[in-house]
Formats: sequence, structure tokens, C-alpha cells
Amino acid sequence: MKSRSMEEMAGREERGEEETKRRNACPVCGKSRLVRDYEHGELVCASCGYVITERIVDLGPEWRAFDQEQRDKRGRVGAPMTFTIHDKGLSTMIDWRDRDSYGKDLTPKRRAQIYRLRKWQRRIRVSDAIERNLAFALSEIDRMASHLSLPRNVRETAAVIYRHAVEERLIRGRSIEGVAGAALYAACRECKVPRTLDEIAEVSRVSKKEISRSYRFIARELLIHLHPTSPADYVPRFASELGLSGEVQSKAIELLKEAMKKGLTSGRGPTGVTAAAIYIAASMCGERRTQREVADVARVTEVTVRNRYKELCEKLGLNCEKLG
Amino acid sequence: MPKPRVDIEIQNIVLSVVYEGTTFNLERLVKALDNARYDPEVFPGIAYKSEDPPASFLIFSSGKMNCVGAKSMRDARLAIKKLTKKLKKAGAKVKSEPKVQVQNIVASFDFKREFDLEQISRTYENTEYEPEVFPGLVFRLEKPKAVVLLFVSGKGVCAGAKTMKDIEAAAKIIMRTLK
Repeated sequence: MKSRSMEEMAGREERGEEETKRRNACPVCGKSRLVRDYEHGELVCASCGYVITERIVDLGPEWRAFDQEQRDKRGRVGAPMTFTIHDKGLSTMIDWRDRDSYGKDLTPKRRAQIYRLRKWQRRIRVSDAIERNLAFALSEIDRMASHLSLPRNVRETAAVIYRHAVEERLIRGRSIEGVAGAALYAACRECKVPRTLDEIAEVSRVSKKEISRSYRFIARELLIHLHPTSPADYVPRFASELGLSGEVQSKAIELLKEAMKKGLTSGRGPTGVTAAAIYIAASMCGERRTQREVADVARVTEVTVRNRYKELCEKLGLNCEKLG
Repeated sequence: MPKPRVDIEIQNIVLSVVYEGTTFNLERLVKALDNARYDPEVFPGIAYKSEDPPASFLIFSSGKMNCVGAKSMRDARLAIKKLTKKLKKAGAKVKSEPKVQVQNIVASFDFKREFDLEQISRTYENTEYEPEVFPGLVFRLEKPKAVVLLFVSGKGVCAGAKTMKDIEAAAKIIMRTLK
């Protein structure tokens, strides 16, 4: 699995662009919806059923494994390349099998030597201060991401953003933690799973101010121009934290869409608007939550919820009396 | 096209004032000026507030001063003139006219309309808009080099301009780009 994705990546680069274009379209119907059928080793057009290539090369491992233990024993490759490890996971390791190239067991003396070599090989993976800092920052990003239970792709994105910042020499004079937090915040927004600055500051070792300052700086320097977070992006998370049904969620998103059309979200904190919309939607669907509860999950004050709620009711022509 | 209907109001002018070839004895000056505070352990300069026209000064022993809080160039000039007179009276060896340089002018705008900040931030690259942190939109202008904060209410603040012309130009650019 892992080795396949790596080889595929390398192969894609080697092939010419024209070649790829030809390969991506069906020669019969010209559609580009092609399916690789690994079971039969065929490349098939999904719209007309024409078999474009037979006996495609299986890039997977040549061995079979039936459980994790066997897989570990037979696998000769490391994890896939990732930006979340300081050397992209492309370092050399001395394996744990005490065998030489003929497959014979090592003598006890050799074994001790290999053990020491293995240890040093691990240690010298981090060669200089730059790499050490990068390793620290990336582990910091990973730690924060784990606390916030963020998916893999966000971590990768955050790591890429941080690496860009290092390349552009933007870290100088700023704290690693601050920039790491900023990279994570930007990555969350880019992947459309926004976390508020407050949430990131909570799991970070630095203040919200430091993170937002770093964020503004790297966003400006790296020309990351993200759209302001849409209040609708927060709805599923807040709603599930409050234990609300999907019905309430879709109602809240509907309300927010309406509000956005009327320009009610401009210049207001997205979390506050989301909180108010959820509050209204919950009341409408008979799953009432108190303003306090809603305010707590959105990390805003009750007053904010109340003000946004009033605004929304007024401008959207809802009857607040009936809800309250 | 009708004349841009924009209310501009100067809020603050920051100037630096240099008396060339002069150094001040702050201990002595403090006694001669009323409304002055000098606490070398807290801050190495005199903080002086003039009543009419209202402005605040920071006076340093190197013969340099900062002037903040004046609402117009005339007020600023007048305040500096008055203070120079007082300094002379207090025994400071001021030979020549002070060199005055404008460092910053802050003005408030009222565009008499509403802004859709989200749309602005989507269309223009040189903007910053983080509603989570600050409800205003930061519009960075290259020429004149100034920063304008815009709010939903249609009001704005311009900072970083060095001349009155810059401020007017900034207002015009904003009017033109955000038709």
C-alpha cells in the first residue's frame, strides 16, 4: 500500500503531460472517468465500459500478509513521505532484525555492535539547530492537532505552511510555538474545519495574541489569502457538542445562509453569529438549549448571543416572542 | 460623478521636533513648566501638556521633542511656538527655529454608506479581515502609504499618512475602488 503510493507519485512526474492527457481520456468516448480495476488488472472507462489497458502493473507488495504482525515482518519500506516529520520521514533506519545479508543470525558480539549503531543512527537523525527547531515545531503542531483531534490532512497542511515560513526566514524573532499555532490555525481554515483562535490558544503554550500576531504576519508574507471563516462551518461541531439533531443543524445553516445574503454576518465574529443561529434553530425544533449552554460551546459571552439573536430575529422577520 | 461625499476629520497629528545643537537640562526645565512631569526612573523624558492649543509633548535631554494630540497643523505649529518661547524663558539655549517633521496623521472617515467587508476581503489582495479577532477590515494602500480601517457602519480610520493630501488621496482611492 505504502510503497505503491510513493512509486505512483514518482511515476506521475516522469510521464509527459501529453501522455497523461491521453491516458486520462477514453479513446472511444473521450470521457475522462477511468477506473482502475485491480482485481482484473484493467483500466476501464467508467462511462462506456471500454477496456483501455489490460494487465496493468500491480505496484503493491509482492508478499501477502494476513495480520499486522506478518505485515511488520515482511514490509521492507517505511511510512509514506510526510511533511509532519522533520526529514519528511525519509531517513535511513537500521532494522530490528539481527541478521546479515545472507539471512544468517549475527554473532552476539556483532549484535551488540549493531544495537549501538542503531541507537546512534536514530540519534543523528537531527543534525543541526535548524533541523532541531523544525523537529520541535512539527512535534508541537502534532501535539496541538492531537489535542484538538484534527485529521491527518490538516496536520500535513500545517506542516507545509510552517516549512514555507521557515524557508522564507519568517521564524526569526518570533516564537516557534506562536508560528506553529498560527500555521495550525491557517491549516484548519484552509481545510474548512475551522477552529477558533481561542481553542488553539488553549492547547498551545502561548497566548491567543501571540498566535494571532504570528498568523497575520505569516499570512501576509506567504500571501495566504483565506476567506473569512463562514459561520456555517462551525455549525456541525457546535451542534454536536450540544447534542443537537441534524434537523437543527440544517435549520441553523439555512438561517445563516439567509443572514449572509442580507449582510448580517459582515463585521461580526463568526462564532457569535453561529451561536445565535443554533440557539434559534434549536428553539424552533423543540430542542431548546439555554443561551448559556450555547455561549459556552461557542466560547462567546451570553450577551453576544443575545445581541446576535435579536439582530437575526429582527432582520429575518422571525417572531422572538414565540421562540423564547 | 458627484463629488465623493466623505466626511474627513483629523483626529491626531504626531510630529517630531528637533532643536539643533541644543541639549536640555531637564531638571531645570521641569521647574519652569507647569503641567509637566519628569520622573527619570520611569521615563527619561519630560511629559508636558499644553492647554491651549491642546497638545502633549515629550521632551528629551538630547534637544528633541515629540508632539502628539494636536487636531490640526495650525494648532500643532502654535503649540510648538508657544513651548519654544517657554523653553527660552526657562533658560534653554535655543538658537534657531526648531526643525519640525510630521510623523503620522490619523483621521476618521465617514463614507455615509455600508460596507460588505467579506466581499471586500474576497476581491482585494491587500486587505486583512479577521472577524474573530477584530471587527474591522484593514486596507493597506501602497500609494499613498497609509492604512485604512473600514467598518460595517461605513466609517473608517486612516493612519500612517504623512500629509493632509495623503489622507484625501486615501479617501478618494477607497471611494473609487469600493464603488
